[in-house]
Amino acid sequence: MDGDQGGNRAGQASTERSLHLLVTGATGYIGRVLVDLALRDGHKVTVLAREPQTPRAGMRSYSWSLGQDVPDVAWHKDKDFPAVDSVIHLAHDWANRDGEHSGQGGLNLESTQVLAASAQKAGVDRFVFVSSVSAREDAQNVYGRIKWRIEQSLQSSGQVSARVGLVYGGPLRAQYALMHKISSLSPILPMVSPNSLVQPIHVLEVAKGLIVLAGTKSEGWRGLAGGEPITFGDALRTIARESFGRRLRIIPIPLSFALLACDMTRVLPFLPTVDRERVTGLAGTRPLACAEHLREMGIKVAPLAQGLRGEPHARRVMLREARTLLTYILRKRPSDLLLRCYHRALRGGGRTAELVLLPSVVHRWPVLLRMIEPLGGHSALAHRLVWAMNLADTAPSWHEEARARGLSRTGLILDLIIDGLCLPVRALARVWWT
Amino acid sequence: MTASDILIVGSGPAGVSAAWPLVEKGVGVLMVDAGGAKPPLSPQSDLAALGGGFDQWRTRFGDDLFVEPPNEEASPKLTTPIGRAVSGDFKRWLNAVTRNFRAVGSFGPGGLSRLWGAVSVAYEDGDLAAYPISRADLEPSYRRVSARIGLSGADDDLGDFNGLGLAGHEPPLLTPAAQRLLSAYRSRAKTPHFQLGYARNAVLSRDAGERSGCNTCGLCLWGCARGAIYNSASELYDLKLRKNFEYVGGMTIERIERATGGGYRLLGQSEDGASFDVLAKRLILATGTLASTRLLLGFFGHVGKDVKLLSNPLAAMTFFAPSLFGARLPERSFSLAQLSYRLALSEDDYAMGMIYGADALPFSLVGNRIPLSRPVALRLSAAMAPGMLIASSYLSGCYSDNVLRLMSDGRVEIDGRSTSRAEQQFSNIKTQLGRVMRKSGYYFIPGSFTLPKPGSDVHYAGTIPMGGEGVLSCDAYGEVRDCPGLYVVDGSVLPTLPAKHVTLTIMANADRIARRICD
Repeated sequence: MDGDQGGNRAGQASTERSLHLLVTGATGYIGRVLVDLALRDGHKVTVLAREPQTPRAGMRSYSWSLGQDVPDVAWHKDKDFPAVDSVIHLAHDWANRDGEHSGQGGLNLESTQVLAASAQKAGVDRFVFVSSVSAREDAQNVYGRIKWRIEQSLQSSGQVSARVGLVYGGPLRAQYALMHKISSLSPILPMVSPNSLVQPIHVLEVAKGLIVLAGTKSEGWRGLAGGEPITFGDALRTIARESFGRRLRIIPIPLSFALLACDMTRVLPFLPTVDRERVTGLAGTRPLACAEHLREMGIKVAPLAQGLRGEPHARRVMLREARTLLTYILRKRPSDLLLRCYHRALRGGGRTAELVLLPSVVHRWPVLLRMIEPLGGHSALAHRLVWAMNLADTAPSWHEEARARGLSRTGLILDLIIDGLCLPVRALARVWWT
Repeated sequence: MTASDILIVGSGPAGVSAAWPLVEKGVGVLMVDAGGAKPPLSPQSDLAALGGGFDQWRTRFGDDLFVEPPNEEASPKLTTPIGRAVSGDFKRWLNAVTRNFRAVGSFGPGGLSRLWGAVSVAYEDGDLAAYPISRADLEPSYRRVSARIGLSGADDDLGDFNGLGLAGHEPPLLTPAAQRLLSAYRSRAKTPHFQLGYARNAVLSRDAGERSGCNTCGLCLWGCARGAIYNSASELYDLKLRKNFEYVGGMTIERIERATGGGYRLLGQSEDGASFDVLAKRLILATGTLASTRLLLGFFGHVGKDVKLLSNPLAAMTFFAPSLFGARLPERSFSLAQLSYRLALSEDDYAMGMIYGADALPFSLVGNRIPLSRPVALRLSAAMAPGMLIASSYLSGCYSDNVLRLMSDGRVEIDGRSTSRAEQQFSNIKTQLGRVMRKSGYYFIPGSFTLPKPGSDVHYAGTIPMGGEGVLSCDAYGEVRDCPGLYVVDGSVLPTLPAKHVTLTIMANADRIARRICD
């Protein structure tokens, strides 16, 4: 791990030299990915966490939780670790809303101030606070308002807030896990504010951006979010398509209605309580213009669809498409090697072919494709079928059927008759595909 | 580079055919070509062994397993990995804007002979009517070249047409479909306007020297690793053994200029990016019509002027014998032309065509065009393949009307066009050929008639014609007008382009010109 300068997914520019980062919230969604990336890039990491961490090369950890004083030893250098260069503060207590009600600050605000003061005392002059694009004085949700308050308290030199957008990708946790789950609940989904704008950014891109910020002394805030906002509904539809291969239809619910339903869950005995905060969080915020910041940091944020295509779910979906089309053509189970070949041809070498969405009944019974196969070759499915046929032509089972064993004449005549009967259905189905 | 007497640019069939006479006479020859990407290795196994698996995928689709969208017009041989690799660099160099024209070329040792169909036939006196030379002038060269590269075929009904006594090898193989057609033809009374016979290819059926004879593996389109199909690069080894021959690859010529004090300067870039500037007192251009024309247009500063570019308009049709439907697919195969035919169109005009079997082609090539469901289309193609014959048909260059010009920014523009008579003639050919085939039990498959873009034949000629009048022309010995010591020996010097395949004649002409230079 030490000194490993391996390439990473989110971009080419890495910080010039090795840093010593102090990270809080290292066990969270972004935190885990951040620590992995930092260690892989050759940085050193000091983790402040509640639980003791499994030892790793280049990392040390000390016990701490929000509200406590920071152990002095965390700032000290020793034989393996130089002095701390910067702090990346990810830890946030979601449940704690005191800041709202007491007007004093609340646990999150106070802890941040303690951490910042401790850092300043130890001579660490860079502090990156991980905030959110929802950070606004008048944000709809408490989370946004708390983040705003904390940002306001960090206005000294070297203290920068990273306003992170809608994070996805990597381990299925936090908001990503929630959206992932929602997208697959049902083909028709009632949802609040599907038209509100979100700015998706892959967790690796966030981690990379945070490390870059930790390496430069900045003030104020920087946006770490997708440059081209998309609607929340589109984001869900994209996840449904790329991670599940399904088409999703959204029915908008008014926010007031959803909030009322949440309040009801608190009162009614048998339903699980749904926090208002989750719903207002989903409602999204106004988009942040951060293209300039991203350029400055050297971070390229891929569009959501493209980012999802590198994830394991997308691979499974593509393999399912491969299996369906190849089984249909070969009339036999295709070998794993053939499936991987299909996948590699469409997604290898930086290619990002879009999925062809097929009804799940077709995945179950590929032979049904015979009735709905598009006539004429311009739709994505037609193109894919041509490619699958080219590939099937090279399959050992086909080679055996066509050359070694020989085809059956009666079988072929029967096939021709059935195809003839399917032609009118296919002509009608054509409308579906164009 | 050592001092040499003559510089040959281009290591394709023309360049190599020009090199041999010079080298044998003791003239010092330096041959350069443009290098280019290394083509993928040709498959070593055969059709039966290539029964699927990763090797076949890599062979079929290339190492990156990428398949371009199906292109109705492209000849199958240009879509294989080797076809794509070999023709890729040339497109970039030529930097052409083509309108309705397919410009194909190749850099690197062997030039276009790395992916050619190997048809090698000789011109007769009628074909050479507009030339300043006759068949008798070319005969010795035809013999020498044929003996050197090895031709397979027979002196049958098409013996005179293809050139008598030039084929030293038996034809490798006839698939059952082609066999039936030939037998049916031979059993009928002959007609004066249609002749059918074995194709004449530059393919060995016996081992000769370093090259092995054809083993009927059927994978011709993917490159012949055995060397059975003639590729002029294979002759470089023998040439390099001679003390007075030197070869330097990776030199891409961008410009030719007149050198002060006589001779010519060639400027360009070598493979590692360094520029070079070479002086040659005597220079032979064998870079292929498109490249030679571009270089000479630049040399003369002939910008914006139209130059007539000849090509053979081409059509393709597929025929099928119902009696062979579902027949067993043969284990051995041969994917280049099996038979060829001559169809008289008028007193002195004819069409020539080649006939190919379909059993070694991927079934999906045919299956792609059948509007049935994919599994049925694939199975139907496999059942039809044993009985299918694909016939190409070429018209003479006088039916083409292409124009090439050099623009001020260095780009080449090519406007491709066939004359209106061409389409009429193809329709005529379709009818006549259809009739002949029907008598032999082969039926035209509806919808299989395709007319690829001009230039798809890859027989480009006529831009620097021998005995021509314009600035861009040369004498009967390929010496460019007003340019002593500058010779062109590739297709550009042919003043007309008969319907016959042109490569053997280019090679024979290059041989003839080189012999003259020696004297």
